[in-house]
Amino acid sequence: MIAPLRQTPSEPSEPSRLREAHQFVAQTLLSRRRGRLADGPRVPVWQAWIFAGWVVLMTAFYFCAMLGWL
Amino acid sequence: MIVTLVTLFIAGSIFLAAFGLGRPIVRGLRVLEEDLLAVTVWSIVVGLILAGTILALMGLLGILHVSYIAILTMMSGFWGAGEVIRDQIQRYERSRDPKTLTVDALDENNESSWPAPSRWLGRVVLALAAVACLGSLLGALAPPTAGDALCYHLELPKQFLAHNALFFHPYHDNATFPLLVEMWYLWALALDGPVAASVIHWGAGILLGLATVLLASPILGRPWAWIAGAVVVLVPGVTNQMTAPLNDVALALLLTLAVAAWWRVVVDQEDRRWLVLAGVAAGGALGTKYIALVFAGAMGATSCWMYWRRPRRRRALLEAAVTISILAVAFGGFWYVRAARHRGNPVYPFAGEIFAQDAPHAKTTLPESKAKLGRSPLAAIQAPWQITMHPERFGGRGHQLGALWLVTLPGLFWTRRLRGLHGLLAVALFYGFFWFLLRQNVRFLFPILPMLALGTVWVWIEMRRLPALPRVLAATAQAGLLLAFALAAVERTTDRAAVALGLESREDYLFRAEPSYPAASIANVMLEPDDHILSQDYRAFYFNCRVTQESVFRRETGYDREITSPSQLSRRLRRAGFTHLLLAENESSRGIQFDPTLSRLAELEPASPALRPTVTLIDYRRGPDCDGVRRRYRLVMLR
Repeated sequence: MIAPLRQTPSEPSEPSRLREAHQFVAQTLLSRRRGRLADGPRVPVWQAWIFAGWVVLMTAFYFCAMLGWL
Repeated sequence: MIVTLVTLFIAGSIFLAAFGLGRPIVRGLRVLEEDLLAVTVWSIVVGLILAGTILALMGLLGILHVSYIAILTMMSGFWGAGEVIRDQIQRYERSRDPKTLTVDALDENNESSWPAPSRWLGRVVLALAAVACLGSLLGALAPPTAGDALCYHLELPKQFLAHNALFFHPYHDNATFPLLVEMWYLWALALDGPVAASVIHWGAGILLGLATVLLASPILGRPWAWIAGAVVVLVPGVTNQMTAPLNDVALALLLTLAVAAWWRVVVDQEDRRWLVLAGVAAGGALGTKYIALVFAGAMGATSCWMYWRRPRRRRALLEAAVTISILAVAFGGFWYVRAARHRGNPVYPFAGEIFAQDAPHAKTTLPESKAKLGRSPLAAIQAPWQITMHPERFGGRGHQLGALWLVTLPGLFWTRRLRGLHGLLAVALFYGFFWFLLRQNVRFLFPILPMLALGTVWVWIEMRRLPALPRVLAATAQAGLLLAFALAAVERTTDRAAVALGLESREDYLFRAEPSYPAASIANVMLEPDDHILSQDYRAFYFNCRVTQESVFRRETGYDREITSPSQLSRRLRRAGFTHLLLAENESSRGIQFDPTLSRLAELEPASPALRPTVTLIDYRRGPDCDGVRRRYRLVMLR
């Protein structure tokens, strides 16, 4: 009888710490499918608050106008 | 309920038949075979344009018979079913070929450089759009009561069917308008009735949302494009129009597809065969409404701007302009030739300064009454605020665009440039400028909603770059708006739910909701088919006999100036062929006021009651309706 071949996990071809470093770099750079546009700078805080204020104010005005309060 | 199901089946059959007509043409062009959504939308729309043109030609030949229409529908419907089966088989075969990019892959693939929307965001926005669409479907399944629909969108097709021909009605101002969409309604009237026509326009609204997805896909990526499509069908004016057989939503659909195909060539530099589709869609738009000419002006202005700024695209721009113009005239020019032949003015009753200057019906192109804001630069700056907060001044709250655009689009000042978006926003801006100069009615802005939706969704994508608190505040406010739009679409149609679901008969609903219907029902019982009513009200659809608008008849003949004694009224009108009068008065100060000339003449009291010129058949009051309008109707017989 021919003994079945025993599957043994192959030895990693590179040291595990180096592999972890590779994975770390890859996860950092390639974790999400983002391009140049997705990595854009944060919008300045004052611009963000002006926009948010505008949105909230106009929404409130609109509901008031539709309810006949304006 | 059975009646409603039959209507839905007929409307579905019409769309299937349109698919059958359009699919071979779309396949022949071989530009979009991989995308099932694009194939479906384009095939149906090309088929509808083709079917409308065929029906118009049948009308010119005097063979608009219901039996012919039914046979053609069955043939096209079975062909369409065969096309669907064939597409499914091909899709299955393609899905087994790993080299081919299938539709599902297109839907899942976010080719863009930014992350796809989170799953919950997409689902919530699409669910809100679905709620709005289902709400408007309930409205569409009720018999139509919209004034313009009963005046001409349905009335003219009804008369064409009755005469088996596309005849000229001299006392109807709308008789020589572009009537492509009305040919679709004629199709629905021939096979079912006015409710099926409403469902056709509701379907046009769904197609408008899908057309927006097609327009947005190459710019925002398919996942975000679905959200742009959902935004468009959440617009209050769109959901409202989807409940009635009008034509503004259909026009927006055709123009959106034309722009989407044009963009593919001049910006994305894809196959020139897209221009054929753009030309056919533009022809359909020209055949739908005069306002398509204004949109063509906006496209022309944008093309000139791009021609100056993008020297490398000049050849594509010129080819696009020439090809689209030729095809648009070929498919939509017929209606303008017809108007020129009968009225001496291809855009009757507009452009009175150029055509038929001496005619009493000629309208000026820039009347002050159509520019509630005025036309000053200050008014232009105020326009976004005014049309958002006070839409009742610009055509009515029912047609309003909602606040989403005023709220969100200023965000474009801090977002980054997105390739292809600015060209579309330029079209919207030029169109908005022309709208401001010509006709300040909010429903005429529907064609630019898909472009504004792209800008809105781009701002939403860019909102990821905002700090957390302002982002949450802005997102919450905008979510509140979308929720309100969806609920408004449902709330607006609650009084029609019973008739839509078959719990109330259509006749009972009309007695309750349509002010002219009691008079129409009496007339349909008592009058002979060849009787002729002179009516102060423009709502004529539910009358079986012929109805002529008194205001138009008076303007054309000046009959009222010939009447100096009560007995002359009956004689004069009988001589003109009229047998009855429909007197309508608005007893409130709101809403459309009917001209009182005919009522005044009919009320002139002769010396003896026996000599009265009229006999009253029915006299009733209706209202106040949702607008606070109270009306009085009298149907009288001329002696």
